[in-house]
Amino acid sequence: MFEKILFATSASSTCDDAAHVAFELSRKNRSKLFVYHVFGLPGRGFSLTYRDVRTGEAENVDENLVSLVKEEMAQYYEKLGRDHPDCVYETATGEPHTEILRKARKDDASLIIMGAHNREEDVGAMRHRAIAGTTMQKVAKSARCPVLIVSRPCVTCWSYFANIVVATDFSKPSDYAFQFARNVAKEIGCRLHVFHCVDLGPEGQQSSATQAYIEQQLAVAEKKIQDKYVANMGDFDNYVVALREGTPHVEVLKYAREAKADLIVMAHHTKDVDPEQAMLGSTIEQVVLRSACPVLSVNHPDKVDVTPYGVPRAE
Amino acid sequence: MDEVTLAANGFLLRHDGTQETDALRVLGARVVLAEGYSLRSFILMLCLNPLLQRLGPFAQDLAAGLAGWPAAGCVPGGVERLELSKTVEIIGHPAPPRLEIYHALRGVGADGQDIEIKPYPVETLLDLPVILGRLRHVVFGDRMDEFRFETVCNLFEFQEGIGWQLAFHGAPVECALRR
Repeated sequence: MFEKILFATSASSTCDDAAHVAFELSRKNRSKLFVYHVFGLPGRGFSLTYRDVRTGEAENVDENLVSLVKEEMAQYYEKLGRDHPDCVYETATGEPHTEILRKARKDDASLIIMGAHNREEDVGAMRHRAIAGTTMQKVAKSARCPVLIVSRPCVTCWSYFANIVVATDFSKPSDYAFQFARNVAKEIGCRLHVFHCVDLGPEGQQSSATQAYIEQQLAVAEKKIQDKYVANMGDFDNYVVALREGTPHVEVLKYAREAKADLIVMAHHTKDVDPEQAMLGSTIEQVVLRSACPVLSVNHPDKVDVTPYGVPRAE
Repeated sequence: MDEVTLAANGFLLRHDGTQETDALRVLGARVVLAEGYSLRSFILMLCLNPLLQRLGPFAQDLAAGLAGWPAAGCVPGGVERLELSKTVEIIGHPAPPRLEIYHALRGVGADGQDIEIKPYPVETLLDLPVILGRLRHVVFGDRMDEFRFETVCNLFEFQEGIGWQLAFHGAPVECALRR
């Protein structure tokens, strides 16, 4: 299904859940897996030092350090990589999101897999800090291929997924998210839930929406879903349509829990948000924060066509 | 500071033992947990005080879910209790330097170690005792030598801190079957 998977990792325990998904998915699909770690921030212009993003201490970058980091990565993932001889460990120094995007472009990755955070946090601390890792946000915003964000242990193997929820707001990127979700659901033979929430603003806030207005909006949404998505299902018939009204991220999460979703597929930014401004506070960040299942961000039409179980591995 | 006792049956009790039915009046009062207080008591409190359900987007669902959950015996293996504690953290790097204050609900094991409770569905944690922990003061990321202080917590902080944590608990108990 995915020819090349780029697993961007901090090579620490915060990416363990994402690592399990990356190794398992690439093994099942016989994909080429790149385990990629970007460390440190270079000085402006040419520099032989990098700054450790955790401690803030400056270190010298030389071949020894790079090989040491690679060795540490290989050791860290030794158990997972045992069944995966083709796995390639690579490192780079620089701004993590820039390097990850560069690497994905260069290698024509079909999927990027990331954890949501780069450090262990108390759940309470997430209220203050960037809701999800800034690297993840920047990669999800600009990547041309789908980005899978895994922040919790994923108990179900990808190929055994039973329910995929695609949350749409009818924007162009949402259409690509739908295409991807439909293709994956068809490929692995699971149920697709096409979900839309009529946005009534923040929970508890006085809304001027009357019942008649809500019902009218729901009817409009139903029609759009029929025209845009149901009409494009082709021979795929294992789908349900679900409509809710309320605060989008709350309703997406509630529905995903009700439907026992194994995967939520969404666009990172929507028609309402300038892609350059689409950062914190978007619905997907809120969904990633609390979702019990992996969340997949799709923004471009590239790589939405999943080929049947990838290319055969060279013997 | 006024005090409100949270009873195991979900009642809010004034200092004279009478029931307070208007949660807004005691939102800023210092919380005292009665004997036998558990996570079930917290959700009963939400059921009895619909106003408190409006403090979090998922509180209403929690209150509604209680009727369908087992009436007793909801204690997962390995977790002894739940502890709500306040953390004051001074952060210097990455910039900007800042001070953060937040509440977090933790699972605590038999020998006092922290246990990640996010993977547990709420209905499996209902009968775990809930206690108020000491304030943790973390200076520049030094988790080894963090300071611990006695502190108090008001009803708003209590409801919001536990409600925030429970919003993360949504994993299904079992995988769904395909058709």
